[in-house]
Amino acid sequence: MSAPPPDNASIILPPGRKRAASLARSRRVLRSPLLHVILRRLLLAVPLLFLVTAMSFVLVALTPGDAARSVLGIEAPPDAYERLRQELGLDLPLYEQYSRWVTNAIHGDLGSSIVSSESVTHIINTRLPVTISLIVGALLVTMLLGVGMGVYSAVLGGAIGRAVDAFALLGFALPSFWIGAVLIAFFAVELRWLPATGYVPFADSPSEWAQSLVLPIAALALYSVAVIAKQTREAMLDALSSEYIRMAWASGISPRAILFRHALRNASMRVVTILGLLFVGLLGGTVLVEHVFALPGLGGLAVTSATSHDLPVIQGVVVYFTVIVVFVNLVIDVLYVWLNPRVRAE
Amino acid sequence: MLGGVTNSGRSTGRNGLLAILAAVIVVTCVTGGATAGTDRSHALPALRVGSVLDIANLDLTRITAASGITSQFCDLAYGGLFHHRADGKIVPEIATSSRYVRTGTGRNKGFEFTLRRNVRFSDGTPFTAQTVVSWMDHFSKNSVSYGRYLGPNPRFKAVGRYKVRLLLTTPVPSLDKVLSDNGSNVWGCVPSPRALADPGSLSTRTAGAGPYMLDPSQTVKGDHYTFVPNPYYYDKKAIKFSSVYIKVISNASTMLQALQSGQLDVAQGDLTTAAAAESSRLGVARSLSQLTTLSLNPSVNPVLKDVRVRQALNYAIDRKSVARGLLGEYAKPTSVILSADATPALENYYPYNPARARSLLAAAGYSNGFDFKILTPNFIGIIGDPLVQAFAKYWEAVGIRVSIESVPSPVFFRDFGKYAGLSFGLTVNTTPRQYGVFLDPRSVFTLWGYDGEIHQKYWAGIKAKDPTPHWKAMWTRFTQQAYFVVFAGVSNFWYYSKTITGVPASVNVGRPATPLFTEWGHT
Repeated sequence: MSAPPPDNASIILPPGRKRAASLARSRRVLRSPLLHVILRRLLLAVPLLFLVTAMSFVLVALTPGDAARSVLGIEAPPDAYERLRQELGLDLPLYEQYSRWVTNAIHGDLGSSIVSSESVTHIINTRLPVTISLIVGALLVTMLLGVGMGVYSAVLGGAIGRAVDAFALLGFALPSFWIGAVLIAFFAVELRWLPATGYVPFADSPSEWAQSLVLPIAALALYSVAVIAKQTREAMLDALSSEYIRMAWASGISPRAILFRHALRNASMRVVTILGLLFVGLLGGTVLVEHVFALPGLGGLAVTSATSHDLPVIQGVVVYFTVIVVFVNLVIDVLYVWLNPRVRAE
Repeated sequence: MLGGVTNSGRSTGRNGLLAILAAVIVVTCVTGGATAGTDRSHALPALRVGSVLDIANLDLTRITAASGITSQFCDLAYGGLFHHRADGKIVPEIATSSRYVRTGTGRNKGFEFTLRRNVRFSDGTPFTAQTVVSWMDHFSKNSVSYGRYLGPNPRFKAVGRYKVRLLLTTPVPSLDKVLSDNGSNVWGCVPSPRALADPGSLSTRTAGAGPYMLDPSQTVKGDHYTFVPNPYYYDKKAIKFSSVYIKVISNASTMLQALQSGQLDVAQGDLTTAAAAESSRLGVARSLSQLTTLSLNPSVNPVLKDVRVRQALNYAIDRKSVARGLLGEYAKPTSVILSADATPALENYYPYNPARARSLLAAAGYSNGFDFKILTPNFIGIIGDPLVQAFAKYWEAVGIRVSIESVPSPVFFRDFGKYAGLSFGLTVNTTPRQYGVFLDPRSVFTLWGYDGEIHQKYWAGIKAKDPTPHWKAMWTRFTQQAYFVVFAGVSNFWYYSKTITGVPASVNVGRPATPLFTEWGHT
């Protein structure tokens, strides 16, 4: 009987071999599909940012009204209006206004609000934590509740399955702003368990921060939970009826391992793809939810800046939203690669 | 020495103890009193107010009539040179007395007031005549809207340390009202010279001599504003709250729910939630503060140049039925522009009379009617497009063919001069303010034409000691000539928790703007 091969930890390589091993490891990393995905997404983000900001510039220019009129009101004399337009650069050609904005933005300066004169970066950074808290909370609730409900109903089936279908239907049909109003009426006004409006920063009070987000997250996440529950149930049913799962049952593998290590892992690829699409919907949904719950987030800022033609703020919000969407899609892609060995092999 | 064993020693010890006890009592009283004095604001409750509109800009020179809750933050942070009381009287505030002075160029062109002597701004600098003069110079040159209120080229002079004199080229009556805190303009809201030396800072903070000042660390513009007591305010007893928190909530039902759940103490209401507020245990204060009207533009449709046609438009509609149907008990049908100088007897000047409308049209040569294009805003709720749609049926019944275009705000303000009829809401206000908006020939909203008699009556009032009879005659003429079709006055609402006092008395049509928070107290 030959001696067992020594494990790698005990092998001591001569220096030349060490360098070769290190180079081989670097090549493996460079060929890693995960790295390719990340680099590709980051490279695409740059032209995407240009395209989206240019489009929003043009769209704002095409809508009636302008920022100078928003600031001065209808009663201002024409000379005051023209003076302000010159001061704000609104009398310049559109391409020149956009080029000035891009030059400043590349240097980290997103400009100042035309209406309030505050720095755009400061305005957005004040409101960003609210929207991020809403979206992350809604995503977590979506994944935990949605996947949980989907798995549960797929495994138990029968009446539970039909209940999940009915819940999904309700989730698709009921608009988030209506849900929000109902939740406020019951939990805030009637029971006084939770606040009706407003946001408390985490640094001020973690418990009040959490309380201020319960109802908005519930209103925002309902639709996504319904979608994910339905998709997870369908995907799990497909996975559970496949041959390799039947083989796993026959092999005596534990039910928990079959469900979570094999079936759910395969089913989750579809769920992860849908999650990426749902995220964009959640981002748009924050506009309505922030309005109903009077939350000082980016959604509300997008609406007020659009109606007042506050172009620097609009552009700032567009940049932030685009970066967030790119980042989340990157995470989704990485998850997909990690979950799917075939993609890794390709 | 303490603890002595002899009789004299015992008494020495007792005296020492008594001395120490007395010292402790004195020190406790002094520090406790001082603490109570400085911590008085902490013993007071906070006032939490919900507002539909935002403070568009903290910089007073950028404030316009559409600038949101102007009056509230000016009153809180700047006070006013005079105070416009809820009963309509103008009383001293930072200025203690005032009078018109002769200038030799006509009545109501010279005005002088004397300042209180112990007033400081929130940054500690003294409030003097020179600070007022510097502010008024700056404001007259830089204001985008209210700067024109004192006419062209006004001059301001400090007479000594505490007296200010205004020398105007145009007569302006009731200057004490103009310089008051009533929110119809902000001339009387004086910022400190340090803030004025850095005008950019005026858009990020308040720098006034009012009872409160903005706390930027507890403020998120567009969402909530927190005002804390001004440590230098001259009348500490007038500070009734430890802070004033203004939360901007644009959704009407969320606003009511925030009040019902105890998150707010007072909230701005509206027509859609008034009934629900009244049926809950909240107080509801209301005043007639808005007018729904249709401005007529004869330059677009020359048919409207004939007064008989304009009067026909007024007689053809049933204001009572439409107001009752659409707006319920919260609206008051009226034929006249409501203002402090309106004549109540004119309110039913045009009763519903379709037969009279037809005969007037026939007399004017339009027995077959005419085409009438109207522009309505789709951003002012039920008092905009729905109201005009309801009245359109009455005009159709007398042969007038109505077409209505309902548009969002930017389109409305771009195209309003291109339509024969323009529907909009007017704030009930003083005659000079209303004249400036839609009667002055220089105003962009003066679409109805020109009537020399109206301008003659207005300026006669400006130059008179008591303008009221002249302005009443002016409005009578305006109503008789039917330059507008006025529909109804609509109430403004404030809901309040019963722990807050003074809200109903502060809501008053005699004072044009929304109530002043400084008039509220607590039980």
